[in-house]
Amino acid sequence: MSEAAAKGWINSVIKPEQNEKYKKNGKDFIDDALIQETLLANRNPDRTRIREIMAKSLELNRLDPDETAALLNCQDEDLWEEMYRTGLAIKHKVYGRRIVTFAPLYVSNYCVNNCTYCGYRSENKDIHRQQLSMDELAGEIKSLVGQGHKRLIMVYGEHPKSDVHYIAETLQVAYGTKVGNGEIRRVNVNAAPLAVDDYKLLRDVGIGTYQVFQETYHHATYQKVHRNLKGNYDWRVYSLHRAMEAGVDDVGIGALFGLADWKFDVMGLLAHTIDLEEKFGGVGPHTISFPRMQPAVNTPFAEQSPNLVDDATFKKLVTVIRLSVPYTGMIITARENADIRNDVVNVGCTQLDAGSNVGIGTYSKEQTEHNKQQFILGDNRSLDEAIRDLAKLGWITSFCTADYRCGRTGACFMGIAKKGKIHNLCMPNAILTFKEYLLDYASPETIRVGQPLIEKELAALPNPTVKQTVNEMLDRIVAGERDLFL
Amino acid sequence: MVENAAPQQETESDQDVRIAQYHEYLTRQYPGLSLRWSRIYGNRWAHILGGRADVVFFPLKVELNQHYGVCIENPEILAEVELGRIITMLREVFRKEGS
Repeated sequence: MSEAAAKGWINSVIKPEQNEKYKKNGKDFIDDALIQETLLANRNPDRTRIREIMAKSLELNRLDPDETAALLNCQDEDLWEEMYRTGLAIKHKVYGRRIVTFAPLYVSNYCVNNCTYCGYRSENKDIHRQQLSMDELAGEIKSLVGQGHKRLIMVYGEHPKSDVHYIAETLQVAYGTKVGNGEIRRVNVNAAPLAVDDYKLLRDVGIGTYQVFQETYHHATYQKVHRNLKGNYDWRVYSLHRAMEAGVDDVGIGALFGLADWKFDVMGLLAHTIDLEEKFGGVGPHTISFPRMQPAVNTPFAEQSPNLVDDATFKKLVTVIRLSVPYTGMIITARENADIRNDVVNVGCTQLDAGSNVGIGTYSKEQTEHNKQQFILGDNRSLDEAIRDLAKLGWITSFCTADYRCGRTGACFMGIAKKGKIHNLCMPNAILTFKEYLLDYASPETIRVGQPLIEKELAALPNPTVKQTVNEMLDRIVAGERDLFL
Repeated sequence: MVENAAPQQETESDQDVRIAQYHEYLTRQYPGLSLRWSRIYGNRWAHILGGRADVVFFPLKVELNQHYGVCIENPEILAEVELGRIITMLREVFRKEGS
């Protein structure tokens, strides 16, 4: 593609008229001054108030901005310990003792954007550019399926080479590639904002969740670090409104912590949640992500930003997100090292990636090439090692993809989750998919740790009819059947 | 009412209106029946209408045609013959609509 053609493509992408209906008096839903005022007005919250807010979260009510601001401003470490425990209690109440596991699959790293913090920025000449052909993609899928993965997040740079038609084709390849008992059952996508009709193309090929991270909600910081297409704040901040409008009713929001003040961006995530819920009948984000900026090849900003978040603060911000939106899935990725993940998963995370590689075409080669990666990974454990470590901590790994294959999406899913009842399905389905993993892919050591966990969680199922059915399904899985779920 | 053939070239929202009519008809005919309608996109059954907003462990998942499906959340409240008749009727209607 010539430079002129690429510029023509860039000019055709943004359709500002598609955002207008969602704005209030021509403004987006992030009021920077109001967020700052709210944070200021809720300084030094007293213990009673913090505990009242925790109680509200524990009842699975979404917090209001002034309540989230109060939590963010808490200075009492004893109260933070209570908040950590509350986060875990909420997670257990809504989703049970299971962690959904997936793999990231980077498909194309061509990008027209030039984001200061990103290894894939267009001006970074130290990055090897690559886009998977459909055959190469099938090879990557086979490698991931061979590890035991059932769920993917496929990641694409913003570039005419990886436009919506390319993304749609890759989804079809991902769903169509089978290896023995294995297959990918749910493909989520992390890619650039699209127009409504383009989202419909992805909806039609069976997308799982569409993720677009705002990176930072702070307008001035956003403009400072983003150029080219991604420099359009509105196009990005309303991207998931357009996805919902197109019928992609599971969407994922996120912020990249380290760009702006962490408290501001937690408030931004909450404001985004509230606006989606207001515009779409109570259905907010299906997941919230909170990646921390990590070092990347030839990207000094990622290590020099004045807003980098330390480990202790990171745990706090994850906790406040958990308490602020108690019923939504929360994803902690392998950007973080194993120790951090093992710790932070205990304040309410529901999903993590494992056995991850964030280069292009590197799963099938079983190697890591830093000059193909967007950033440097913190957790390099294999899927089997991560699952085993989680099991030792009492977490059962789930590869469940049942909800979106039987109509529990959007309002239906959210209605069940908000009542704290989705765990009644999550735990049986976690047991069933974990059993498949142990039979088909696990090492002897992981089987030794995992099988007792299955027995323990089976015994803990409260409904005797469900318990009996799951027992029967486990027998069928041992006999060779696969993909059984409630 | 359900047996009436659908007009040609309906849009997705026309179809959703029609599904709301089927839903209303069936739930009026069979009080207590809980139906969760979906539009099918590959693996994805996207929720359109209905369902209890509660956990249903053993719904009967029925693909009506390549684009629509319904989960009958409490099939046990119907006699087997009646359940079969409803499914056959729905599949016939959606087959005729072909969309």
